[in-house]
Amino acid sequence: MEDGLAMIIARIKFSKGEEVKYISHLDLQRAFQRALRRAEIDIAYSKGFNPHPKVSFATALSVGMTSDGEYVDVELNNWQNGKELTKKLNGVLAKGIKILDCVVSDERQPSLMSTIKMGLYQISIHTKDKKYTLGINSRIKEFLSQDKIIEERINKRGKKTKRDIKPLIKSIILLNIEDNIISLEMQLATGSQNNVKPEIVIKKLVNNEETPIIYDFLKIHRVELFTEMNGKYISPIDLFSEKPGRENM
Amino acid sequence: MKSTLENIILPKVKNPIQYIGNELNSVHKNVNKNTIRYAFAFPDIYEIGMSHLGMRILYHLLNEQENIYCERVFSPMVDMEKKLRENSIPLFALETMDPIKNFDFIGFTLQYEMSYTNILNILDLANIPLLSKDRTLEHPFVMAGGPCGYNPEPLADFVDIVVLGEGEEVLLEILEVYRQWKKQKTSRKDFLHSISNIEGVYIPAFYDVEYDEEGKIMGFFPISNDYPPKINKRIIRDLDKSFYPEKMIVPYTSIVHDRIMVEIFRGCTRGCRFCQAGIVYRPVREKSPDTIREIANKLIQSSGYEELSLASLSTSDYTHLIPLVEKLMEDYKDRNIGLSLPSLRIDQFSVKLAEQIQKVRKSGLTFAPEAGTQRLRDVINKGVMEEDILRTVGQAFESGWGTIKLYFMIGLPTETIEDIEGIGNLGEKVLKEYLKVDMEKRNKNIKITLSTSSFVPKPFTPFQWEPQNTMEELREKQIHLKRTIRDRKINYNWHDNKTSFLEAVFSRGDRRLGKVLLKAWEKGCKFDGWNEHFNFNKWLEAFQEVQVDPAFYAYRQRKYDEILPWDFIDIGVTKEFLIREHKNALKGRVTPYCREACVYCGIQDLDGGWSCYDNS
Ligand code: SF4
Repeated sequence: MEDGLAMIIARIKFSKGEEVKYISHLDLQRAFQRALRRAEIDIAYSKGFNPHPKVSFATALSVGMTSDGEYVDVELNNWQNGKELTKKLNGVLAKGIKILDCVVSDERQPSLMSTIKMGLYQISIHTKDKKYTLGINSRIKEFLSQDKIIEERINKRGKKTKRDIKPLIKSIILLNIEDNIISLEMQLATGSQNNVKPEIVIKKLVNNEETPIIYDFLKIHRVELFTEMNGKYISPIDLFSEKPGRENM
Repeated sequence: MKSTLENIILPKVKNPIQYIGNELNSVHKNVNKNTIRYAFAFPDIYEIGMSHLGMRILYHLLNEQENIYCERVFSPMVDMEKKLRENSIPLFALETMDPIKNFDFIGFTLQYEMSYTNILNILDLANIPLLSKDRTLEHPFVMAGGPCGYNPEPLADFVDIVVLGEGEEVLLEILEVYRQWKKQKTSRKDFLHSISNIEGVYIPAFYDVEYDEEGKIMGFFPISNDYPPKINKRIIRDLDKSFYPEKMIVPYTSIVHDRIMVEIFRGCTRGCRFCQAGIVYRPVREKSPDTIREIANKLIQSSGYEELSLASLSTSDYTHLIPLVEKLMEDYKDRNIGLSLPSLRIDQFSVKLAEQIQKVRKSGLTFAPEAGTQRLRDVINKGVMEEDILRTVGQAFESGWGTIKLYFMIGLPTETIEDIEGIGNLGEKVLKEYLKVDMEKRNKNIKITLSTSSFVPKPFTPFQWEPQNTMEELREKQIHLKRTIRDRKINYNWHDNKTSFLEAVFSRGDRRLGKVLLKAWEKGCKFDGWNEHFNFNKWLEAFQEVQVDPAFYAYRQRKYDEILPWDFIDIGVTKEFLIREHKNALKGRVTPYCREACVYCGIQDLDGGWSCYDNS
């Protein structure tokens, strides 16, 4: 924000449903900008040759995943009531994207992206056969008791690199088993500082060399994103509403 | 099946969102037994098909009707096709993901000849018999329309119904008859019979062709007196009153023309002799500026798009262009909405206009002189003088543009080596105009691109009798031109000759080409317009195996009295006019454009009388 003038930010929480789970992050950004225009919300634009709306997303969701915990910050030119904004946007959004909450503040904020620390995910593994669901509990225990869990990656220069993702996995819990479907919940480091993708963790978990779990497909749902305050995980929107800006409304 | 598709296939293919019809403003309806289900099929991939304005209009027009549900289908990309075949999943429509083989109609839009194999491929992927004669009451009717429909004969074996001209009215008339027929569902032939006298409808199976020993058409006639010997194209008389959607689908994934498109007029007042669109879309019919603004506002409001494009041929010829652009700029001044005019003429007026709308970023200007010398430009009746071109680019350089693209054609009738060299010379003269501009003022990034395509003679143009240059001749011309251009600031690029050759074969082909098409498709030809998929050798094999000589279609000079495969279509413009224009071309005689003077092309007698301007 220029010259310390008060900047009005709307922090928006939204969901990404089955209908739109295949849209890429870039497509989502564009769709959001168009929705803001349709709703005729007076948003701020960057200066310069090619003005673009000041909209910034928390973190990208992989193509194919659904979510109930997506966040975006939108800079406004004028005060608007969060409830009003929610109503306006939901009136113009296509099937599959829904605004769940919105808080407006004019307090200086750290960027949304930098505050995200953790993500909560629900995963269902649609196994090829019921037999693959057996012993899943002990497999999880074993998995988490390892000293290190090595992820091999190919970096931008095409080289193979390795890293330990164990510290990035906060928890894995078995929710239930129904027929051939295993449902899990995981807490994983998520955000711009530390990040591990849920599909990587799942692949590590099921691709145990002696007894791999064979599956048809996975469904991954992001339940929520969290930021940290005083050692506690809270929703980015709660962090936001702590600021006095809200009371001014 | 849907679950396999959604959970197993889509996650594994490139850009899966192109197969899901949940975009904003896509139409979702309940289907019941009275619903007429129409699959609008574009025989190319989503990002190309969705950029097509005609589809956008007809999709919403059909869906406005009660009991008609129009969905979209595109050519799946190669990876998706493989998965569909592996899993025996028949091709489906985007909105409901229902197999299109259960629909009432599949309507193909024919935008370019090189998409014909994709039509066959779509039918095959859908499990619909390729040949019209093999279809039964269980199968949909296969329709086609669009610019290539002005010579539908190469597709005669595959298509049940061809719609000639603008589709808005005739489509609804056909579906109305279908609604009645559907109650009884007697026979396919019955239905085709009952629509065969609707103006603009052509049923290929109801016509027969005889050939002489040289292979030329000797006779083309209906198989019974019930069917009209001549078929008139359809036009919409009043564009202000005709349907235009107030909402348009907003794709998630980016497409080729990712913006709002508002049609400002149909037809063209120019008479370029190589241009099919300029003839077949006559007469000119303009939308009023008020209608355009109203539509533009609604579409921007309902889409959230940040760019608006005015669509037409030769946009500069719109009568009220300046006031319209000024008003639109005024309307969108504070809303960060860009305006684009895709088809500008080469004149200073156009540069001024472009300057006005590209205030900040000078992204590049494109002009089409089409030929390198004045002589040849007169032959093709491209009414632009060299002085105009140079003055125009000079002005563009003065105002800060650096990137200029010039389009030409090679292989035009009467072309000589001087005309080829003329293209290079013109490039150099354009560069000189740049160098004249003050060093401080001019754009540092100068880039002049000369681009040539190879001339393809098209039906319903004054050049419809002309042979195409051989591939070798074209190649030599391209190499010669490449050698002529020395300055590194001038780029030269050209189109592939093999594609142009096939285009020439199919654009003026007859129904005997159906077997070639089938053979080529069987050999795996598809996406022939895409360099990475195009396989010319397979095409040559196909011609050979079914014993059809492509040169007969591409390279042969026709006589005026030969029966041409498309002669049964009446586009309003007469053959006499085309002959007159052909003779003028060979003499290098320029014909005034409609607004200067009417030359009575035949349109004046359309539908018992049509008045283009006050002069006609
Ligand atoms: S009738 Fe005259 S003005 Fe109308 S299109 Fe033909 S030549 Fe042009």
